Amino acid sequence: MTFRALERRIKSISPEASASIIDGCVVLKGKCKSYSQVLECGRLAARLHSDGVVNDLYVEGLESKPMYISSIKDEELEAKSFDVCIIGAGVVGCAIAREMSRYKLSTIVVEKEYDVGLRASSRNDGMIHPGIDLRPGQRKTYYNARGNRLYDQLSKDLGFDFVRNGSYVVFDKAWNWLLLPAFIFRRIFNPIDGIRFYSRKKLAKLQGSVASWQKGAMYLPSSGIVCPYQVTISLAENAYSNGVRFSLDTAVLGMQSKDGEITSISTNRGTFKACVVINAAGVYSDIIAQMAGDRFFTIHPRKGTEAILDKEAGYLTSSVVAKIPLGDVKNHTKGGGLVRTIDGNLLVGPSAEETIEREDDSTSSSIIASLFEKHSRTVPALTQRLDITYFSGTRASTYEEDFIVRKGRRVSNIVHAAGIQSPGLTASPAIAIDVCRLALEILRAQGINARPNDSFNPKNPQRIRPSRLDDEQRDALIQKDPAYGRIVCRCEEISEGEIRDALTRPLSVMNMDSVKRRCRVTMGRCQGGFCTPAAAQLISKQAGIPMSKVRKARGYLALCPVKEAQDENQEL
Amino acid sequence: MRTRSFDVAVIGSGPAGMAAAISASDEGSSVVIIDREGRSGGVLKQCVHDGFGLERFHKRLSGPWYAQIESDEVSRRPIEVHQDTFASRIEKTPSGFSIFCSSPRGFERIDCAALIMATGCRERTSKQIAIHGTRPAGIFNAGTAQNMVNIHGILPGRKAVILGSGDIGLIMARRLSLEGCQVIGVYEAKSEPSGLARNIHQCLDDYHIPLYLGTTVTRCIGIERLEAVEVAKTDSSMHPIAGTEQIVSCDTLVISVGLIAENELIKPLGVKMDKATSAPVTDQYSMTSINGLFCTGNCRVVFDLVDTVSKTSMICGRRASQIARKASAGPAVQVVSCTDLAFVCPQVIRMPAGKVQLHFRPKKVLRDYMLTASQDGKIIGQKYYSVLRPAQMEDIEISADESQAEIRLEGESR
Ligand SMILES: Cc1cc2nc3c(=O)[nH]c(=O)nc-3n(C[C@H](O)[C@H](O)[C@H](O)COP(=O)(O)OP(=O)(O)OC[C@H]3O[C@@H](n4cnc5c(N)ncnc54)[C@H](O)[C@@H]3O)c2cc1C
Ligand SMILES: Cc1cc2nc3c(=O)[nH]c(=O)nc-3n(C[C@H](O)[C@H](O)[C@H](O)COP(=O)(O)OP(=O)(O)OC[C@H]3O[C@@H](n4cnc5c(N)ncnc54)[C@H](O)[C@@H]3O)c2cc1C
Repeated sequence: MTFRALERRIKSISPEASASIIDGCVVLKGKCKSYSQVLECGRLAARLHSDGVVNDLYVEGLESKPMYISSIKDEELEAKSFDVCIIGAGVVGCAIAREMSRYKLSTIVVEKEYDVGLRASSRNDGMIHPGIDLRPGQRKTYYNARGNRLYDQLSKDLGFDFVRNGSYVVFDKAWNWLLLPAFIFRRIFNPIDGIRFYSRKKLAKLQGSVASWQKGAMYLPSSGIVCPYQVTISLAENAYSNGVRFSLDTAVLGMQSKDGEITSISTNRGTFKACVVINAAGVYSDIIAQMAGDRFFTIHPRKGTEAILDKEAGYLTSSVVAKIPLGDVKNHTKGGGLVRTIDGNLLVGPSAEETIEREDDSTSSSIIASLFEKHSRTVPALTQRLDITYFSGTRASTYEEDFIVRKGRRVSNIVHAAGIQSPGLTASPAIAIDVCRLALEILRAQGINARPNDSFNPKNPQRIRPSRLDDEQRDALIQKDPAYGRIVCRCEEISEGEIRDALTRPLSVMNMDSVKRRCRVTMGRCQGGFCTPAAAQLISKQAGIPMSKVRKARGYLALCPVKEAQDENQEL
Repeated sequence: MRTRSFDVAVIGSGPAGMAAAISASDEGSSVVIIDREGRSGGVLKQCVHDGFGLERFHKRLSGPWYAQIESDEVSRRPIEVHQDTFASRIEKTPSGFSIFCSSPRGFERIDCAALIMATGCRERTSKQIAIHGTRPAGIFNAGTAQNMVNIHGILPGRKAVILGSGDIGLIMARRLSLEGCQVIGVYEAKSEPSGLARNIHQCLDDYHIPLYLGTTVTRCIGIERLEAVEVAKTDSSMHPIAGTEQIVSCDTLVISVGLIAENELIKPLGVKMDKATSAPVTDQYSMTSINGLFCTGNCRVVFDLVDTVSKTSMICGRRASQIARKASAGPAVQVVSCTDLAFVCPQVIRMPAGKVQLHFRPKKVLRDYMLTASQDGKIIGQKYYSVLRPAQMEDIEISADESQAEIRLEGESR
């Protein structure tokens, strides 16, 4: 498409919109009638070969909610100075932090939430994708293939759970088999290990839960599963143990620059300096680029909702069962499916909805119902009755629908790891290696030669899970430390010892939900009905605060001691 | 690994487990009780209100008091009580069952000839009833809120909406307002309250707490702490009606929308389940489809009154002791319910039975109702009810002796 053609088509979508080329990027300005027009224009602009799409189109009266910023305000970071500042502690930011910790540098990670990994990185499928649906030549494809292969070693070093349980891409129409040559051809450019094709009969034998009228499947043994927040937390713990500083509840609000170089970074906890800034801010990565004066892309948030089923539904599959994602290609999702999680539950989803909200985690019953409807066509025994919870996350998609991993265009001391949508979890370890290399180059240009960190330890302290030991080992463990024998969370069988460990590991956070993500307490079928008070009591003891001051997610669990409320009422 | 052996093992020391242990011990068996918590009493420990024991002791006792009476009885007998002990897994053995338990003393195995499950129930969660919106702090199950207030002395919030008019919801409405939390109202999706009439009077009317029938909570709003909920009117199938939504500001949502029997431990043994109770099929002695495996109290069926729990559990304990000593279970006949009833428990009767109580709930309010039990065309029990409500569990006595034919329930409104 030529620029002229683009201009014409934009005008025909919205007469009040206009396109221009500024500094190699397509810039869209003006007004649209609806958000879908905004998206349509953005997608069109991406078809023009440029350095990126800056879509500033707006719809009157349509405004997204402001970014969540913690109410904490202090001078914790005021006038400090670091070699490297990583913005965002998602899986990408934490993987980068760990790579940076291999060097003797002062590195800080700033994260606006109360814990690491709270946004997209804890709100996804947890799949380590084989990458079959990715187009050769994209950065997504490159990083996915490399990231996938790094997971075996990473899980050994960091002690997170990882299983290559394979995935089935089910053919629901006989003509799907005609695509076979395409898949085989794609493999030449996008190496995928061990791919196999199964006939209808073989599929029925291997995955009995799949509808009998399905026409066969492609099997991808390199597909795996992890618990995504366990991965993120493990990376952060390791980076922290190797000397990286984490500043939580810290939001980047602005940046000051001079002569194409960022000179300082302002947050709600003070303004500080950093030689290199790394943008790993997920759905806000274009805003961060803007603050740095280096915006050449636009995030259009895409929300995905998922349902989690009771372990009882785990019999439906021990792998991943997905439909061939034909209809979804234009939506850039993997079409979703049934994913057996690392903990034995079943995940159904995700959906894909374009939204103006960058962090709206709300769910709705109609979306959940549509997920069940869609996927029960592949697996008829799927039922909403076993649904124990649901959640949603937001993908940081750009109009180019590809990752951005590069140095700044106009700013000399920034590296972007932006637009990391799916399969970003899979790709993150590979992205981190490249980002680290780019950051070291920038430092070198500034005259800073980073030396290796000799005391770097790639391993994390071991996680103890008594319920996974055999009976004799478990008994021996409890004899040594009785806290591992006292069960607090009955559904997930989590002991007091594991909760204590979660509260004393590196980078522990005294919050109900942080403890939950570190050891699964309150995560089972009763969803904390029984163990919430007991877990809160352990946090209050460990943190030395009254139970009424224990936090749950961004708020307080309880609001005050009973006695206080009674006294107040007496005064009235 | 330590291994111990008993005639009868009881998992759970709530009222059901304690009553079963007492009667099994009195029948001459060696008995052990295993409980996850540090103190006996189960859920009664946190029910500080009164109303327990009216039928059995003709007194209005509090939950902890009732539990104390039972645990005193337990301690007068040669019953071993293992507290802080969690039953992690159960295996069937040729001579009975092995229970694998975790406690601060170690991981141990307890073998028994008969096993009584008295593990109670858990509450349905907000997710299971499809409350959507955001996930701020301030959303609790009623039992969790009750535990926080009555055991830990912390108030979940200052301005609460209660969803569900079952007894636990009603009791929590009163409890919270007594402790200084403003209760905006109790919302109930059905057109009838689910709790007992006396609780509506004593817990809501006396405290001027409004009850909104045919209304449910559809959405939570809030970023840090709950700021408001969206409520909507419901149609006859309890689905929210679009266009009737209203925003109610509050900082706490207490959910009391039903209990689920806890039987996860024995499901892997292949015990036969009843869809109507979502619990194992049991006979009049609370024995499941597996010989020697019993299931009593609220994990068998959710009872209204603890008195009934104790009474049925005593019958269970006695029988478990006999079965442990190789008594034969006797042939089973099926109880066939009628369409008006939500469930009937027991679902099978072992013959010869003599006089047996059947417990049931109607699906909806029925007036002027006659229920008849018959076997082979012969009437073996009949009872007239001026009114039957889903909120109230009822029973009917039958006497079944000779016939091996199934027992049929039939009813009609007159
Ligand atoms: C529904 C769904 C399913 C998915 N499934 C998979 C899958 O199966 N496999 C896979 O590989 N990938 C999957 N993905 C993609 C994957 O989750 C993401 O690519 C990955 O988590 C991105 O990580 P991130 O660190 O870039 O982003 P995030 O985790 O969002 O991290 C960005 C962080 O930056 C912080 N931040 C933002 N702005 C600021 C600021 N101004 N100041 C300070 N901090 C800030 C945020 O709070 C956040 O913690 C899925 C995504 C979704 C939404
Ligand atoms: C919030 C609430 C309020 C109530 N209010 C009233 C009222 O006002 N009046 C009234 O008459 N009735 C009331 N009831 C009902 C009454 O309390 C119950 O009927 C009764 O407690 C049920 O007894 P149970 O022994 O079956 O179960 P529970 O009392 O629940 O006891 C079960 C026991 O099993 C243990 N357990 C479970 N799993 C394991 C395991 N794997 N290993 C070891 N131990 C385990 C538990 O820790 C618990 O101690 C109320 C119930 C609830 C939940």
